[in-house]
Amino acid sequence: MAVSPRIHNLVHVSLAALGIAMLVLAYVDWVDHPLTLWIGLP
Amino acid sequence: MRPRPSSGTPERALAAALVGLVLGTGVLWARLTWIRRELIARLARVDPATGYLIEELTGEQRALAVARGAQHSGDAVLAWTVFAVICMTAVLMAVWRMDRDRGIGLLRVAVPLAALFALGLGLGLLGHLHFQDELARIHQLVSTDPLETSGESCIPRLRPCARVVAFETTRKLTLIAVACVGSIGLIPAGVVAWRSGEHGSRLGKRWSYAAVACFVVGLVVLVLTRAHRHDRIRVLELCDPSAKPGDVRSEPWPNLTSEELVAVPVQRCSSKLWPAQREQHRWTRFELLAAYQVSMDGELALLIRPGSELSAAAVTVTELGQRSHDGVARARMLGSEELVTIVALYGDARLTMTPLAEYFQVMREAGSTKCSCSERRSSRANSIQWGRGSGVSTVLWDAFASPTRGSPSSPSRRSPS
Repeated sequence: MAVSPRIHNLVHVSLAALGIAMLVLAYVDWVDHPLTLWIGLP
Repeated sequence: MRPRPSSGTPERALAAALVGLVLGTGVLWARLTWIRRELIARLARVDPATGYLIEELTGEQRALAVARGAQHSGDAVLAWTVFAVICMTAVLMAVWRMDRDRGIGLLRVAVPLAALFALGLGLGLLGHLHFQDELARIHQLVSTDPLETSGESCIPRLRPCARVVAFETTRKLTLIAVACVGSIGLIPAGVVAWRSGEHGSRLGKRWSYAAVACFVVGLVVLVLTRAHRHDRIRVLELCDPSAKPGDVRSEPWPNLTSEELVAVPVQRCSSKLWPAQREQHRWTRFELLAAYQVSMDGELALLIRPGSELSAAAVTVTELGQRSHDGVARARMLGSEELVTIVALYGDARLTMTPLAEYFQVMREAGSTKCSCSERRSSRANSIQWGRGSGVSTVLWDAFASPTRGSPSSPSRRSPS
């Protein structure tokens, strides 16, 4: 594959960053389920 | 600070960390499975003929199981998050090493990312702990919508909906902050990656894989938590003050459609049923203001939060149930736990809707619910539906099958003979 190293590097850094973004989102949704907020308990 | 010329140490340390995380997650998973199996084996008896649970877990045991399960699953999500962060750090370190001669510091790349991660986790904790005042303060910074508090005690507490709304504001603000910090933090990383490429340096295979793994893990966890997002959206709709009164969406009943839980054989408990049940249990706890459960032979247990206006109604309901004890239905107070007062109304197949309708009439008069009832019998279980028009919710609890006939673990205060 003749993908330029620049594109190759950039794509992989972006993939990793996107992964982190999705994880943060998922984690927040997981931890702060409405139930937690509703009953006010951890 | 100039980095020392290359050594294999960072790679080895990273590899060790990754292996440790994967092993740790495996151990967590195994423990979770073990706990579930133990709970079912010890606390629930299975009818060999039907394969259904014939003795249900007490509320306390269930709460314990749920708490443990949630705790361990949460740990697993956190472990995978840390795993992905390590992958990302590895990728960035690789990029940095390719470009280190140009003096790009790792800190410039890593610190903003660490901040991004810390902000995300902090946001998670903010809602998780008792930071009600902070939530309210943050909400009032950006919104003029009043937050309802309950004035039952001298310390005003946010009402559940207010808590959800306040957290939503905080969540949005923090996510914007996280996005900004993250984007700014990623610019140097992108520049470094691009510039290294100009010099012909190519990110090594292992680092490419690490990046892809990070992305895949993120995607998987995002998909796995989609039910949580859905719950959040639904609760926000329920809490929307602009929803018209009488509109089914304004009712404080989440629209549970758990038809697939009907009489699920216990064999499936160890794998699929349990998470579903836990989810259901979560919802039931969520509905603690007044939730109820119906089991296969028609037991109906009402869960009421002590201290709510409904506590008084619970007593009335108990008496009501006793009065209608004509072989059709009887009610008893199962006991009080920290969170709930449980009233159980027993009935059999002849159980009519009349006592139940009265039941809910009392509830409605207590001011918290707007529900109408209709009865539907599935092939294997009774279920009670409530709601209005098309907005009908159903709760089925027969996965726990028959009620415990012995005395409950918590002290009965008004147990009829």
